[in-house]
Amino acid sequence: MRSRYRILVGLVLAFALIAAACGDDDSAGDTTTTAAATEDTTTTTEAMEETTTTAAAETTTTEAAASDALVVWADESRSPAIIAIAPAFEEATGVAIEVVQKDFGAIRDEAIQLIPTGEGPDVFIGAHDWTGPLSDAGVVAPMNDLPAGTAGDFFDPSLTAFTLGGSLYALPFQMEGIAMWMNTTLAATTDAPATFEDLTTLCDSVLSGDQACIALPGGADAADAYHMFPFQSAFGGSIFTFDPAAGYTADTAGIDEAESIAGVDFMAGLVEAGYIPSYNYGNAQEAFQQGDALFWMTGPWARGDAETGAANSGFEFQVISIPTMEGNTPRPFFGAQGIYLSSQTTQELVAKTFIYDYLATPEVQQALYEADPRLPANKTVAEVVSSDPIVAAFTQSIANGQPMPNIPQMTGDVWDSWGAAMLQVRNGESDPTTALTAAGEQINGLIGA
Amino acid sequence: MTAPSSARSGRFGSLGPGFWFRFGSMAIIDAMALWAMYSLIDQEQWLVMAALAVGAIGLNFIYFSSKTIPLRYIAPGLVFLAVFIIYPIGYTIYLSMTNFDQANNVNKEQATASLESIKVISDDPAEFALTVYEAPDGELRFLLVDDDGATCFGEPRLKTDPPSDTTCESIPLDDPANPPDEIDGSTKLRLIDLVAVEGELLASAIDTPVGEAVVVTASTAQSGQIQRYTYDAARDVLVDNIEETECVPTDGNYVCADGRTLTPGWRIFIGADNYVDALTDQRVGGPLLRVFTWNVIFAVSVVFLQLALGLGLALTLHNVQLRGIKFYRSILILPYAIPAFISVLIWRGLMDTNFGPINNDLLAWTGYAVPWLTNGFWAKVSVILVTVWQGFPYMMLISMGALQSIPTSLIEAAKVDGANGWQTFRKVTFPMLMVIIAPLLIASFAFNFNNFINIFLLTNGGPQLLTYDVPVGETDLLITFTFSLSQNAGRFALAATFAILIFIIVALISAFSFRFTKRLERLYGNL
Repeated sequence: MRSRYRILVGLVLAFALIAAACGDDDSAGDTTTTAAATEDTTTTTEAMEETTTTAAAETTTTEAAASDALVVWADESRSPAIIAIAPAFEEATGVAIEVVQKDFGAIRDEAIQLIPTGEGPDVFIGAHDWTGPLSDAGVVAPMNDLPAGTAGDFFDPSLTAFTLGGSLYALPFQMEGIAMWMNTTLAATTDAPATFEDLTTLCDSVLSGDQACIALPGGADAADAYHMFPFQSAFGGSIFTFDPAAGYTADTAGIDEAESIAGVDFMAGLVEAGYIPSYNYGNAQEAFQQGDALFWMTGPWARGDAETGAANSGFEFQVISIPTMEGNTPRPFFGAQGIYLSSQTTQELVAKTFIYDYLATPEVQQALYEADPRLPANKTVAEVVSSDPIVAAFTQSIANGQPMPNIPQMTGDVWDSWGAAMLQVRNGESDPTTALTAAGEQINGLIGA
Repeated sequence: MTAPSSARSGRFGSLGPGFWFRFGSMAIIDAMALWAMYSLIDQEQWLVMAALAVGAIGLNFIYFSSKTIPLRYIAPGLVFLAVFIIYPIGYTIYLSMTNFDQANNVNKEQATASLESIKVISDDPAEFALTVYEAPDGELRFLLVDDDGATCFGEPRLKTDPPSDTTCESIPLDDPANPPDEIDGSTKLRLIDLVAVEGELLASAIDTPVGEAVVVTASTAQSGQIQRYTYDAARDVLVDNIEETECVPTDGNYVCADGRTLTPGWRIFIGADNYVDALTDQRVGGPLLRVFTWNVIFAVSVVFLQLALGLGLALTLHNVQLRGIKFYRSILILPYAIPAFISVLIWRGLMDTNFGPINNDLLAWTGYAVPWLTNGFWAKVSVILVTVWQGFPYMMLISMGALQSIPTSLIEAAKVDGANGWQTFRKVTFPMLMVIIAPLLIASFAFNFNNFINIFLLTNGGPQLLTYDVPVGETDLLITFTFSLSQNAGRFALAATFAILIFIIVALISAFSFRFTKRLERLYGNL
């Protein structure tokens, strides 16, 4: 806010000054002057408009804090669902809901930057792995007082995902994790392979030429350890120590342990045998959409893309759980998305009323689900949509899963380092032991272990 | 204004359109400045307000005194300089001397409030449906109804007051789920009225048979809450009510007696520590030399190749008589005209290892696909290629302009002296060209030294290396390395430190190069 102010004031001053200097010119009627003068007017008007709004907002803050609108940040797909309940909330409480639409990925950093200045949202949507960074940055308030009755409406894993250091930091509304999209036309069967042996046999029997067996993101030029975690976890590997009750402990990086390496070795075998080409996310999507990949390992967010591809290339598909690997069940990462409460909100009661009494209701949860159908975190909604085979398949797949780390130590650097090691394996540039040992050392250095 | 004697000032003094325009503009500026000062006073930003006031008074003087006419033309530039150059640099220097990172993001009050907002809920909290009433004396009354329909009605106390014996009493209700509009002369408040007393509600507690209950939302209350940390302002310590220890502010964080460091912390001024870290800490210092070396190689080779290609084409277009030369010139300028955001992303698609058109053709012709973006060496080649492609038209344009300005008599004289084409170029054309384009080459070097966009969009610094203590990529420049420090690890202050160090490096290189071009000018400039 403060710096924006200064720049704004500076801009206006500067433009007006240019105009003023031109005004002194002899050729007062020539085109330059006119242009400058016009520019001056527009800038000033715009600036005044913007500043007026700010001024109005400030006045209300000081005079009647309670009647301020509740500012909600949401991404473009979820905004309509929140806008839809705004009138009912305003009628009941007299508090308007102001939904600010943001790019989902931008919300985290903007919240960290803006909330301390008082310019941030009161309530915002976010992913569960932001919990660590957001609470570290002091911009979110815990929701430990979420009534047990309300909490009981949500699946435990979705709440665990948002819990850090014993505190719950968001009300979940959806979960997501990876499974396998299967092109049943190409496979000429709807029988899901139960083991990777079955899967490779199936690929051998039906695929030809350039067709890919498993389109798995995380190859080519894009590091993406997330999509390959099922392999790593199947044999007991993890990134940090994970306990379903206590969550993650950032003791040492687990990716260089024997269990992790065994899983990646298994994957490297498939890579070497040509079952997993070195695709990045875009390549994998394209291959599946063209009908050139038998399986696509990714999450429920790809539903629209899969449907488009199926319609355009004329194939049928289904979603299956990731097959077992030498008798081991893969544990894909799952993620959750939820609604955070700003630590700097001036309207804690209103915000909590909005989250606990309005957003937590099955109706709103249903609307949020429909806005971008992944997997509902709310039990009632899950029951309603359980007849959807895709939702059912993903639910089954992530039932074996574990949440992505939400601890602050899981920085972008850790993801980068891990992803780089996996990328080297995918591109055949390094063997699993070498790559993961190097990445493990790097990660241990990063977390100071 | 008194009427000055000179003709020029006299014209200004005659209150012509020029004066009125100035007057109008300054009126707007003054109004804006006054309004901004008013808001700044409101926010208690005294320093900024004072600076603004001094600036505004100065500007009025400049634009209305007849002694400061030259300044009138410089003043806008000075304002831009202050707002867009001096302020950001000053602020970056300030940030680099703080401990600003992800966990030290807020100020101390906010960090303390954040820690104080952590509540621990007992294993078996009691939850109540809450209805708020207003007694005839204006005080609030709470009606709590638990799941079994048991009621509790009474006057809340402040949370800070000591708990008393049960202050609420059970009252008979016909339908506990729908409390009546009036109890004992107290009237029920609607949700909309509760918003107005929000602060009061949040500060209230009521003692029930199962212990203190506090307001959670407008319609629920809960017992069994314990505030984890309480700040003792008098002693400046944070008391941990669960572990029963005390946490003392130490270097921007509360550090408890049992050794725990609490987050969030807050920003403090730490002086030159970040600079010492950046230069000595092996964790960041290790990859720095590698990044710096590649950065120099990148910038030098890009500028050199751009110049070679651009100058070559300029000479060709200058000397060869071609039909439709304007057409070729327009085509050649296109790479420069397309925004990097579009062209670099298109290149990324073209160079895609699996489905990129370049590799598809290469495969078809040679049977070999180049790992453009996935192999360290080729990624370096790719970023240089794309950047050269993007920038050679600029070099071509300025070279063509510079070629026009070389007198043909000199070239003819060289010919008469028996010089061949290469000798003429080497001894006459090129030195004269350098006088004109050397400063632009330095600017181009400085730009490419910090060519964030191309690296970010094409490889994002990758492929990553695993040989250092922090992730760093084969194609990372100092600026993208700095960016990932702030973006991936949230180490904002350290990133600011690197930004300042890069600024110093670029400034030194530029200063050195400009001295070199001065020498060129002395040698050839007066020909």
